[in-house]
Amino acid sequence: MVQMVFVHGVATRTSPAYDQEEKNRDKLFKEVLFRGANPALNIRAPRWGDLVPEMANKGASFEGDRVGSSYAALAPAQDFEVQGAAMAELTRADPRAAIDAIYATAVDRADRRNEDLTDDDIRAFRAVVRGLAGEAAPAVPDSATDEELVLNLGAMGASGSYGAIGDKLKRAVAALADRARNTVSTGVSNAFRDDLNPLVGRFLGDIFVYLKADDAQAVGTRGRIRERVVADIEAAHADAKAANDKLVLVGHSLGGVILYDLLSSPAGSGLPADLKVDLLLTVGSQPGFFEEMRLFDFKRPAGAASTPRPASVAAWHNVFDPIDVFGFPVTPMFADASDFKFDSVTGLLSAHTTYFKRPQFYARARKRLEDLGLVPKPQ
Amino acid sequence: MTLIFERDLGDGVPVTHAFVVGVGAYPDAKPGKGVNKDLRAVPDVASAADSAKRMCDWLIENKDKLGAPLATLEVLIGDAAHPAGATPYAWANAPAAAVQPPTVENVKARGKAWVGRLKARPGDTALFYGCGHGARWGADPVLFLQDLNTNEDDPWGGFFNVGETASAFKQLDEIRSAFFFLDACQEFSPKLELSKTSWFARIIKAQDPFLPSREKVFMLSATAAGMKTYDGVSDDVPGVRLGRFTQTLCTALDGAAVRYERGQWIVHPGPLYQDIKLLYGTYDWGDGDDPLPFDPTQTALPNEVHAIVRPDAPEVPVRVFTDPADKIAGFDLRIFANPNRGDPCVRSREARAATAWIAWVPASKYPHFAVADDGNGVFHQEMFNPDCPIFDQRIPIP
Repeated sequence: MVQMVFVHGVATRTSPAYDQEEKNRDKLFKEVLFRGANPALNIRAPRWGDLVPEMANKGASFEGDRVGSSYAALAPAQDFEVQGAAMAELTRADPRAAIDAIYATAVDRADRRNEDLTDDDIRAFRAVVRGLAGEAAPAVPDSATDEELVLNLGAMGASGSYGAIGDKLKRAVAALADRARNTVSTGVSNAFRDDLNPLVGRFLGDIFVYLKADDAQAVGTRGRIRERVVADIEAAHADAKAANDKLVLVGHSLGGVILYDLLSSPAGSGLPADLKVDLLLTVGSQPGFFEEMRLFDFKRPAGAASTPRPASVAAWHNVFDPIDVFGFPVTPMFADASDFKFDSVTGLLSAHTTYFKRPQFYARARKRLEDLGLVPKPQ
Repeated sequence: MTLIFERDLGDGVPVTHAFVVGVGAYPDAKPGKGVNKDLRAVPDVASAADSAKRMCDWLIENKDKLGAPLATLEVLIGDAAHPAGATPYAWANAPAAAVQPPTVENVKARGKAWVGRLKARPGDTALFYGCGHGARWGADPVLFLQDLNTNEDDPWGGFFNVGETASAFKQLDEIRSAFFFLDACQEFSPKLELSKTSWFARIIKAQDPFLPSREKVFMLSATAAGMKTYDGVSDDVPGVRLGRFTQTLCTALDGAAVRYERGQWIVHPGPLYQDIKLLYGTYDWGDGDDPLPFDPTQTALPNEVHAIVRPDAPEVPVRVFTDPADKIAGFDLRIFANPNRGDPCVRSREARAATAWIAWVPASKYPHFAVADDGNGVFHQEMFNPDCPIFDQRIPIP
């Protein structure tokens, strides 16, 4: 078994919506990223965001985040008519990014509608991940229209099926194309721009809370966050040690910062002395940026060009999307770590919040897991 | 033409009248075509038409082995272009002329003709097979027909309600029994569910809840509600893709799912549902570590034992493994019809492997013995009766 501790990022609070997102993400981790791990993956996911104090004025400082109430008790059902050729055009130009965006939209839509991903969804997702795993662009037959694109993508996901009326892809293509049509920009890629204001605010808020060394209490918010994460790492380490399992730590956004902060100063963090981490995976995260700013307790040796990887970590991979303004590389700030990046056509906000819904992430990360022997290589 | 096989077996012989529908092409359910935008992403499935041809060949090849011999075979098939690399199925018993396509009107007309034959005299048997895109409509499995999305007033209505038809056959007094097989998905679509469709192909008055029904109908569909079913490369014909359910069904009917009943080997509906699920696992579908699901569903079961087919010299699969399973690679495996292992063995696997062994053994009501031989004079054996398919035959290794 592989023991995993997943540390979430900024602006994450317990809610039914996050429960659903976590459920679908766990399913993708278990059945796509770690599929075939012997025999399974056990995930712990400490929720530290609930320890951050409520905003005093409930976010009134986010000017762009005020939404009026609707008087419509029953909103009309959205009609996802697939028309035009915006996504077909984008798929011709960059099939990898287009497929990534379409499937990420489909997963995101399931999260928002409080729907579990079905076995068919997972199977189609796996097929796409396999298609994206190679160096060559995935083979999607040329589509003149978005309608044709839906037909061709469907055949890619589940070839030879005697079912044809499922509409998840259709809705995802329609939703993306609709955003493209509504944009004032000239390029299709620019269509996926989001309002960043609230996320930036919450990002900064959580960062300040975490970095603030202490408050009036004996153990401040920073301390309680670290205690909660350390408790799950300790439990995962104990299970891994008892069963000779592998231990993987995944940190998204500020979660990656928290993990690095703990691992780089184990004595002060309360982590077990014999902790051995087989893989540290930071995703859309900021350890590289914070290291440049000299914000961590651990300081690189004088005169060194880079900071050593934490001693307990056997391998460190860092994932970021260049369009994600909150995702940074870890090289050359850190030695013995590696970055992998992928381009998306998603929006600035989506780039940071949808890593775990995107087939490209799973395709690239899976390759690293195979190289580390954490999951079997394809036959 | 539609009636591709017909023979007169005389008045005193109960017979089978069969109806086969294979829908490979959906020409109006494509981008830019048809009347409803929701039905413009329906891919063609050439393997569905090929599966129907395969079933026609199977019926004709087994015309005298059916529970009641085959008298007529009514067929509607709509061919589609094969994807690159796929080999079209070649009819072994090709009809003299091209068969007609499975449109709503053709299914209505030829289906009613089929029902008419079944009503002509008491005691005959009905057999239906359908393959193509499908869905659930209410509790009923339906098969989408070639003219899906052509009717401006009722675009979803281009289907044949196989479930409703099977239920209606319970009130078809003249027939002795009926067997329905459907290789199609059972997806659920709210839009189909909410469509007030009335155009679909009805070939018999729907079951009347106020009239008596007889449980003499067997219906087996390829998958459960909400699930999909798939095609796969044929074991028998290189390069040809056929419905996985259809391939497994043919293997089961060829004898893999036999039982010894009243002095003869027959395949009958009772155990077929479970056998076919396990038989699927004896195929290598090439899915690797990502096996596609197979979840056949029985939506009607007769309360009497009537043979679907009486196969000659049937063979049943026996899946043999050691207990504990990880010891299997240390043994040659053999099956004997005698506990003394003196007779020539029935089957053997001497190429040692870490996987279970699937041996095809002539069906027998007498005891057989599965033997693990380490090659150094140590034998472990377990008795079993190959009178049905066996998917978990252990040989205990102390």
